[in-house]
Amino acid sequence: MIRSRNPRIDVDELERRIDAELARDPDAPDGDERLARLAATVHARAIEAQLTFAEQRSTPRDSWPVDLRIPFVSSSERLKKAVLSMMSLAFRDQYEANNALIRSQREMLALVQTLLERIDSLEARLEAERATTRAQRIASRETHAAPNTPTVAANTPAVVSPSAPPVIPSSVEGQP
Amino acid sequence: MRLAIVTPWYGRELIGGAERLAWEIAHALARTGAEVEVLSTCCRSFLDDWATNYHRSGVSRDAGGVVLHRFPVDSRDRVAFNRANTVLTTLPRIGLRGDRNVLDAVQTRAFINENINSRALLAHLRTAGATYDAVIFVPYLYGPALSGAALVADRAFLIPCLHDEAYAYLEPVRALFATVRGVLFNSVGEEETATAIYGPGVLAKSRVIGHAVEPVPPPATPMSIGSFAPHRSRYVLYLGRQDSSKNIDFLIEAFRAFRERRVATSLQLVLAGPRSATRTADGILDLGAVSEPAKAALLTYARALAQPSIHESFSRALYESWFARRPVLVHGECRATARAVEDAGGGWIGTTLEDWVRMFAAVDESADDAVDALGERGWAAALDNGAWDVVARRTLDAISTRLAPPAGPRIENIVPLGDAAVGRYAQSLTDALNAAGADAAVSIAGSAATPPGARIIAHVTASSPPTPADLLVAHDAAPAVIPSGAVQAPFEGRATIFAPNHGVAATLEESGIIARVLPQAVSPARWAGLRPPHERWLDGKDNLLSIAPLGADEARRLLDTFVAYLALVREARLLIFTADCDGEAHATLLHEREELDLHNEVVLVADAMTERYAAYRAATVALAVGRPLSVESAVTPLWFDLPIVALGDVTVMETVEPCGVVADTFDARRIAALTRIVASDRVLRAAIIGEGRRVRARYAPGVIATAVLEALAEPRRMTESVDMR
Repeated sequence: MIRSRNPRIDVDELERRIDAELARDPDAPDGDERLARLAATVHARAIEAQLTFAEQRSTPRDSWPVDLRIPFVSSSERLKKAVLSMMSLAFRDQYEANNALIRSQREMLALVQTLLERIDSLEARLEAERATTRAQRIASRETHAAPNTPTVAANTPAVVSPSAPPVIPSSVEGQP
Repeated sequence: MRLAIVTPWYGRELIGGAERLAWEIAHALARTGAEVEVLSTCCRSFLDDWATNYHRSGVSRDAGGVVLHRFPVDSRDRVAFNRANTVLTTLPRIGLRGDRNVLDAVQTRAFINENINSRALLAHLRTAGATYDAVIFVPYLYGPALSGAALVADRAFLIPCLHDEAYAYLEPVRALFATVRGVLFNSVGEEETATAIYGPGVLAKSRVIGHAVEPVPPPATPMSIGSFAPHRSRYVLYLGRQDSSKNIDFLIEAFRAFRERRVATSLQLVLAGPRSATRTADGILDLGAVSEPAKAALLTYARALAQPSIHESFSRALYESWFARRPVLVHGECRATARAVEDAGGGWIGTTLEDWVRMFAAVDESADDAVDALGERGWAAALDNGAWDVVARRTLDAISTRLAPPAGPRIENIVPLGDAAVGRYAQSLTDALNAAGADAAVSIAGSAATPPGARIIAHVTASSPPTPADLLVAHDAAPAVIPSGAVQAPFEGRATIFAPNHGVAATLEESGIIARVLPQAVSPARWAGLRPPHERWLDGKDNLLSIAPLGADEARRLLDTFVAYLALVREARLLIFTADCDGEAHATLLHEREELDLHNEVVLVADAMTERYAAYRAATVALAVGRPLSVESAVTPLWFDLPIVALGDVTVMETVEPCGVVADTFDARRIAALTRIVASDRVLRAAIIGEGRRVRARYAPGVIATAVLEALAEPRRMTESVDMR
C-alpha cells in the first residue's frame, strides 16, 4: 500500500508499524469521547464509500473494457456485445446476490447510525438527570442546614470537625 | 580582488575556532593573489576585557602579505551586557524555535551596544568600505559584524560559524543574515542549522566553503603521557576544552552508565584539553591540556574519538581524528557533526544517554577491523575536505559569483499561448537563468520578432506550431500527436531536447527521441526576509499542512484523514491553504468543520506570503491527499525540511517518492497512522529530510540554469523549423 525509494526507509517495517499504530484502540478507557465519536464518523464514511464503489461495480457491464484485447472479439462490435450479454446472463444470480448484500450492509449502516444517535440522546438524558439530581441535592442540603450554623469567614481556613458531614467534591457529587 | 576581513580578535597565537579560521583564511586568500586587509580591534582575545586595548592601533603588514588594521575598542557597560548574556545562556533549549524572539528589546539593545565594539572600525567601514570588492565578517555574534555589515551591505559576506544557540535567535542577528550579500558556511550541517533558524531564504545566498584541518602527524615512536601509555591502552578520546558548554558532563554520565553495565570492560575514557577542575571516575582518565606530540599519540592509538558537543559549526577534533583514521562518536542534535558523520559514514551518531551507552558498547565490542574500516571512511572524507587553499578558492568563487555572475547570453523563452503550466515553467526557468547572469525573457509564440543574436528555447506542446530553436523543452509528448518520424529526423543531433519530467522523457524515448530531464526550478529565494506575523501555531501541537489542491471530495478525504489522526494523537492542527481550495472545497471545509466541531483544529491559511511562510515554518508534516501536486507545491516543503506523506501521482513519483512515503490508495486511517509515525519518529524524519535535501537540490535554480547554459554552449544548433504536430 505504501512505497518509497528512500534507501533509508524499510517499507515493510513501516507497514508493520502502521498496523501496530492502528491496533491501538481509540475507544480505550482513557480515550476522549469526542474523538471516539469522530472516529466512528470516519469509520461510517469509509464503509459508505466502499458500498458506493461496490454499487457502481455491481451492475452488468455494457461497454467493453478498453484494456481487454481478445483476438477477433476486440475488433468486432457485434461480438463484443454478444460476449457482454452472455456474461451478464451468466452472472445474473451473482449480481442479485451482490445487490442484496449491499442493501443489507446499507441497512446495517443505517442501524448503526440510529444506535449511535440513540446513545447520544441517552447520554444527553442521563446528563440532564444527573444535573437535576445534583440541583436537588444541593437544594435539600441547604434546606437541612441548621439555622444557627456559624458561617466561616471568607479568609479563614475551613476546619472540618469530626462530626461535620463529609465534603464531597462537586465533580463526583452527582454520581447516581 | 581587494578583500577586507572583519573580525573582533586577530592573531596567529589565538586558539578559538573563529579566530583561527580568520587567520587561516586571510593568509590562504592572500596566497591566491587577492589583496587582503584584516580589520580588527586592539583587544587581545575573547578571554580578555573587551574594553581594554592591548595592541597598538594602526596598520601593519605581515610576511604572508596580509595587511592588518587595528582599531581601538569602545568602553562598555559590562553589567548590562552580562545581564542580557545571562538571560540568553540560561534559556531552555525548548524555547529556541524557528522564528521566536528570545530577548526583549531593552536587553537586546544592551547585548548589542555593550558587546565588543569599535566606533573607529565602523568609521573605517563607512569611509573606506566601498574601496573593497568584498568585506567578509567572521563570526556572527560580535559588535563588528552586528553593527558593521549594514554599512557595506552590498558587498558584505558573513562566515558566521553558527550553531544552534540562543544568540542565533536574536533579532539583530536575524537582521544581519538578512542584510549581508552572501553567507559562507563551514559545513553542510551549519547551513542546515541556519536554514532551520532563518528559513530557506538563506539558502538562496549561501555557499558551503568548507573548513580545512591539517593532519596531525603520528609520533615516530610510541610515547607515554605521564604514567599513561596510549599504545598499550584501549580508550575513547575526548579532545578539546573541558567545559560544560561542550556537553562533557553528558559524555561522562554516559560513560559511567556504560561502565556500570559492563564492569569487566577494559575500555577507558581519556579526557585531554584545558579544564577548570579535574574529572575522575571509574575508567575515566583526565590528562588536562596536552602537548602537540602527546595529542598526536592520543589520536593515533585511540579506539575512537568522542565529540559530545551540540554547539559546533565545524569540529576540528573530528577531522583530526579522521586524519588519524579513527572513527568518531557524535551527538545527533549537533547538525554540523552529525551531518558530517552521516555523509562520511566515519562513526556513530547518538542522541540520548542510552544511545551513547550503546555506542560505547559498540566501540568496545566491535572487531578491530570493523572499527578501522569506519576510521578509513572518515579518512577519505577528511581528504575530500581539502586544504585552506581549496577553501580560499571556493570563497573567492562564491564571492565573485554572488557579486557579479558571469554575463550569460540573451535567451528568449518562446511559450505557447494560453498554457498556464508551461508559462509558469518558462517563467521559473527565466528567473533561474537571469539569476545566473543570463539576459532571459519569456514571449508568446508568434507575438514578437526574436531579438537578434538571442538564443531560443522553444517550449512546445503537441499543438505547438513549428518553431526554430537552439533548445527545445517538450512539455507534452503524447505519441499519438507527435509522429515519431516527423520529430526524430530534424531534432537528432541538432538541438538539445529537454523534458520537464521523467514521464514525458520516457514517452519521448518510446518515439525514439532522447530527451534530458530539466525539472521546473523552485527557488527558496522567495521566502527570504519573511517573518511569520504570529506564533499561534507554535504551541507544541502537531501541525499537518495540506499541500495539494482540493475539490469537495478531496476536502472531505483530507478531513477524514485528519480526524483519524486526531484519534491517534488527541491534539493536532490541520493547516489548509485557502488558495488550494476551489469554491466547493471551501464550502465543504467550512460545513464539515462545523459538523465535526473542529473549529480550533482546522485552520484555513490566508494567501498572504507571510501567512504561508508561517504555515510552512510551523508544520510538522506536509500531507498531500488531494488532487495531483504541482512541482512547486511538492518541492517547496522540501526547502522547509518538511517530510511529506502523499498519495501517488506523476509529480509525487519524482519529488516525494525518492525521499518520503507515498500511499498507493486512499485509506484515511492508514494514512493517518503513517503520518503519525512520520511526525513522531526522529530517525525516520531525519531519513526523509536528509534525502529530501538531495531531491530539492535538483530543483535549485542554479542547477537548472547551469544545465541550460551548458546545453546552449554545446556546438549544436537547429536551424530548421520543426513541426511538432
